Amino acid sequence: MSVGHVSRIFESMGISTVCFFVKSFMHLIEQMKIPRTIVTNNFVGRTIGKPYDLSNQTNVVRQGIDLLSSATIQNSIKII
Amino acid sequence: MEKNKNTYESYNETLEEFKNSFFYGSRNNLFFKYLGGKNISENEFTIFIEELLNVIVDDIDKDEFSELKKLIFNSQIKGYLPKSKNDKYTYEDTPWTKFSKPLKESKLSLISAGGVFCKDDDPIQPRGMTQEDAINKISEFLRSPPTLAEIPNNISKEKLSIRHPGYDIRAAEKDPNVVFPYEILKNLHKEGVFASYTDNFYSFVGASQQSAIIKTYAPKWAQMLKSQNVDAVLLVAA
Repeated sequence: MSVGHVSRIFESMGISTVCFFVKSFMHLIEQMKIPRTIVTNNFVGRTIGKPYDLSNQTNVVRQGIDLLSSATIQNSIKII
Repeated sequence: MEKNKNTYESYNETLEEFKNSFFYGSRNNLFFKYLGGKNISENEFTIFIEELLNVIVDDIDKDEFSELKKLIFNSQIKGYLPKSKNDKYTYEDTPWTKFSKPLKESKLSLISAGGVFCKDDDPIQPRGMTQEDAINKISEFLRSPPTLAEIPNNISKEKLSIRHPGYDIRAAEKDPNVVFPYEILKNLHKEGVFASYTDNFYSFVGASQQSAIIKTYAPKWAQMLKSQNVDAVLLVAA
């Protein structure tokens, strides 16, 4: 929930954001109308991926950065 | 008399007490804490245990653990889903700052809610609080404002520490990138995906007083990042 709040405040103050959540928190993304979100099919506490899994971690972060510029609608959610 | 969970000594314990013990109780387990939470009923708990035992045997016979992972993953989703809607932080609007600058000209930063900090610059007083201490103080954390740890972008893994009362930190202790992808972000910068990043990256404990984040701290952090000409921030929930 805290990341959703930070995102909403940052956006209202002129900073674009992309949030990363695991699927277990999907309800928060919808409830809080978070601007741009990457949702990963990982366990809680492993949001970006498994330890040392450089390839998948890189893919997650890369897709998050891409979403910054590709998202055209508010509350954009990309599940990967 | 204190219960000894490591022996077969019998003592009276109801199923409810057994279940609840995983949520900040005698068997506290931050990975499985949702099993002891109110979103999982006693009946659902017993069904999960039964399925768990069956799936373990199936996976042993296959010599791989994909079904076990699937079962636990799905139970975690169910365990974190509230039974009733929380109206307190339900919003109808989405604040939006269009990202119009090309990435190759943009400056990015990173904030993680995973409780990452520099070992020699513990942001929480008194310094040196252990993970176990933090877990015991979960209620205190939830009532307290967040503290933002500044982490130099060239920090080495050996100098990082993680402490958070709300989630299982074992994966993050092995590789902080799982909640604080500082190395990944720098690798993508080297590839030329974006122009630059801030001198520091940041982290705080997400399990903090939400009203303080909204009213005071997030606006303060936004100002601090704007003064560094940041165009966009990656925010990682833990």
